[in-house]
Amino acid sequence: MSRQSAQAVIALFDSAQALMDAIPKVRATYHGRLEAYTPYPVHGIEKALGIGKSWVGWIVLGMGLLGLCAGFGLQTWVFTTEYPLVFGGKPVFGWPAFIPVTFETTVLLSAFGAVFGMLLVANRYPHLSHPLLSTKAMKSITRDRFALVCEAEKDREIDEDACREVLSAAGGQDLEVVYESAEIGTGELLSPKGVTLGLLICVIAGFGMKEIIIRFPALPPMNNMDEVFRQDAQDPSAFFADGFGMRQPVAGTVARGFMPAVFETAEEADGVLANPMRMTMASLEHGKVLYDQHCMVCHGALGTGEKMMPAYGGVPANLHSQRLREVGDGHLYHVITHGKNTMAGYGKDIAPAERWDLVNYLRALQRSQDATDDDLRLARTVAANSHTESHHD
Amino acid sequence: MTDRNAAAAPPLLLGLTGLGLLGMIATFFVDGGMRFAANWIMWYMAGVAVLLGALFLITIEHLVGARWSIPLRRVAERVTSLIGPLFLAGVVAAAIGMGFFYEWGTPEFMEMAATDHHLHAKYIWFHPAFFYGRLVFCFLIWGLAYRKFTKASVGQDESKDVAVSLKARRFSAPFIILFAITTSIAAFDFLMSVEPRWYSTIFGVYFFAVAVLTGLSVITLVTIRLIRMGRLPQVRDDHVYSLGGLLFAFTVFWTYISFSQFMLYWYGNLPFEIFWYIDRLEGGWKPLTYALSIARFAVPFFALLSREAKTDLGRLSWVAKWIIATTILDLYWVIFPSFGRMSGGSGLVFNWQEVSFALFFIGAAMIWLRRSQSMGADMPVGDPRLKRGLEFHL
Ligand code: HEC
Repeated sequence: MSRQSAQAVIALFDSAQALMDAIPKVRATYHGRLEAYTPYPVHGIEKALGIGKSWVGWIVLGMGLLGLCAGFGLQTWVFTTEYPLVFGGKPVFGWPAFIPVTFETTVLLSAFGAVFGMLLVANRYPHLSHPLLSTKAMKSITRDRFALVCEAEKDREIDEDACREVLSAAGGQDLEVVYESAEIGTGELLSPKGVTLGLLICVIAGFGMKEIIIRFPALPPMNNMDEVFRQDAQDPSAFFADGFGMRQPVAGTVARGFMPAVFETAEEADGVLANPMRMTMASLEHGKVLYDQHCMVCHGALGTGEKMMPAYGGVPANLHSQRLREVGDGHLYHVITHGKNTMAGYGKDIAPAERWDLVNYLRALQRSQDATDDDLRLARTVAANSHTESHHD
Repeated sequence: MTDRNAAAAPPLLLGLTGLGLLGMIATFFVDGGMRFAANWIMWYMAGVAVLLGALFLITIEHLVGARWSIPLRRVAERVTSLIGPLFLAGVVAAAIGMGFFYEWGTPEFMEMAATDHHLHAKYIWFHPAFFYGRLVFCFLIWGLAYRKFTKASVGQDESKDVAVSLKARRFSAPFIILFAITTSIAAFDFLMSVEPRWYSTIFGVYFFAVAVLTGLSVITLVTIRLIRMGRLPQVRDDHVYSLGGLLFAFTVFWTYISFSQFMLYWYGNLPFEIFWYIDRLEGGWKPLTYALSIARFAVPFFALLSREAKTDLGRLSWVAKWIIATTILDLYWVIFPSFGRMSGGSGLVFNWQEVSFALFFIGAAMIWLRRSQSMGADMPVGDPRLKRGLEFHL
């Protein structure tokens, strides 16, 4: 067997002290890369090995400050700008309430900085495996012995015999030589093998988790408030005597913003319900908006209702019929609120005051198709005025 | 072995302390008992904080079998010798407090308390006999600890009796409970009662944080002095690092406790809780409140953040002094806004009177601590665990 060039020479020691004593002896004559592997952290070893101060601390500090700014900034932005809500009578910029979350984000990012910084900087991740893991020495390193290793670097080979000599002179036992390449780079993780393995792990972990959740329901996953203790309107209730979950309003009460429906038919409402909304420009303009949104599909822009919806089957009323011109405002209001035959009611979608705006607009619409000469003259002067006005602007 | 010269107080220290004493007497006659009492109580509680901090460190060592602090335990034990003068100061604090300072010390107040809903439950608590009784009770408990820990440990230097260590360990468990109770009592009685209508259930813990911070700082300062004098040759970075780490940890703990209380009170906004903070967030007290939070949190936090800082004697020394100074500021912040309200003023209260008290109490404490450095050996040499303590590695 042809002899490969050695990548690492491992020597074992029986105690941390023996290792610490050996390090200066080895460093006196050997100037290549020296690494120590121990079953637990040995304080001061980095100084002995001549390893400079790690900059993981700075990563942690930076990440911590980032977490601080991000946590505080996010809350400030949300609560003052994006979604300003007043809680408990506090100012929207209630900074004391932001501190706990800020603290959490600071600690979280610091911890990420520490763990991932350590993996990246100190352990030189990512790599899949380390050649030392497959040595005999590793078994004892993870148990009770301490290893000192002369390692080759990319551009620097080691002299196996010289290493053996210096390590055993310093008291190292059970010397072992590693011939594999000590450096396993990033390429290893991104190789087809590595990627396939990663995907496989994800798939297995995902399905495994699913099975676990199903088989061990004692550990419920986050169910996002799927189950809340609340009475659904359609569910029966064991609490109320009549067995209904949904309650009727207490007799004689009116909910805020609602008017009780006291009329059964449009005819009853006619002439009794008075229109409280004055016929102003603002009322008409709002009525037009509502008409265009809700009514135009069936009744058409002019309210004639012709051929607007052949597929619908129903025939919309022509809003210019003499009957509809002569009915009172209360009649129209009632139809809008409760609908009529195939026309649905709009009481739920359109607030009472707005329904009156709509009534006003219907009246204007009717008059537009049945205008008197005076109306036409009036319309002309209004148009002329608005024309000169727009010229003046 | 012991350097006797180090124990004798230099003339400058004696002179300044004497000057402080003169100023204190002058305060009493110029400004009356109220200002005298407010200052006295503040410094008395600072002393109690040091005592309790030292007792806590000793107790924890026995209780959990800590190794790192064994070589430094004698430093803490010597600090606990403050108990004698503190008891005297406590009796004076109670007497002048009730006589001149505490609102609840006046007969009119006690009459009012009988009918006021927020006060009648506290009526018995503020009864002078009960108040003195609690003071004596606290000092009896602490005195017992002084005997079981300090006295016994100093005696062990000669006798090398293992039983002393075992007894101390056995005593530490019940004592930590009594410690919690007496610390709360001390805090409630002398600090919280400045505002008899105020409610705070966390105040005992708050004072505990103050106490450990202050006690640790004093121990750190004495340790550094002894190290520099070459009297603790076997104390290594590992021990000093642990001191620095604890200082750092309790800096965060104090911040956590005091901020939690503030945030919850701010959010709850209940009249019998929030007025305490309103008093401290108005007028000249507002900048002081902000200054306190920066001085007591941000400065020591960043000063001690790095690993090197916790073993750097120069850095530790100034941070410890800084923490002691902020403790005084902290107690000032607890007591004086109420003093200002009661005495009719609104701004900060600070003048030669306060300086005199500082001179006297700091000077007296330094003289006492210097003298106490001749008590026993510099390390608990009779403790069989000392060797393990010296071998301590992080
Ligand atoms: C889905 C199509 C549809 C929409 C949308 C619709 N309607 Fe109608 N509307 C009808 C039909 C169909 C009738 C005829 C009902 C009947 O008399 O059987 C009718 C009838 C009417 C009548 C006459 C009622 C009467 O007494 O004869 C009025 C007034 C009216 N609609 C107003 C409106 C208004 C205002 C809106 C908008 C809020 C609206 N409709 C939206 C289909 C619609």
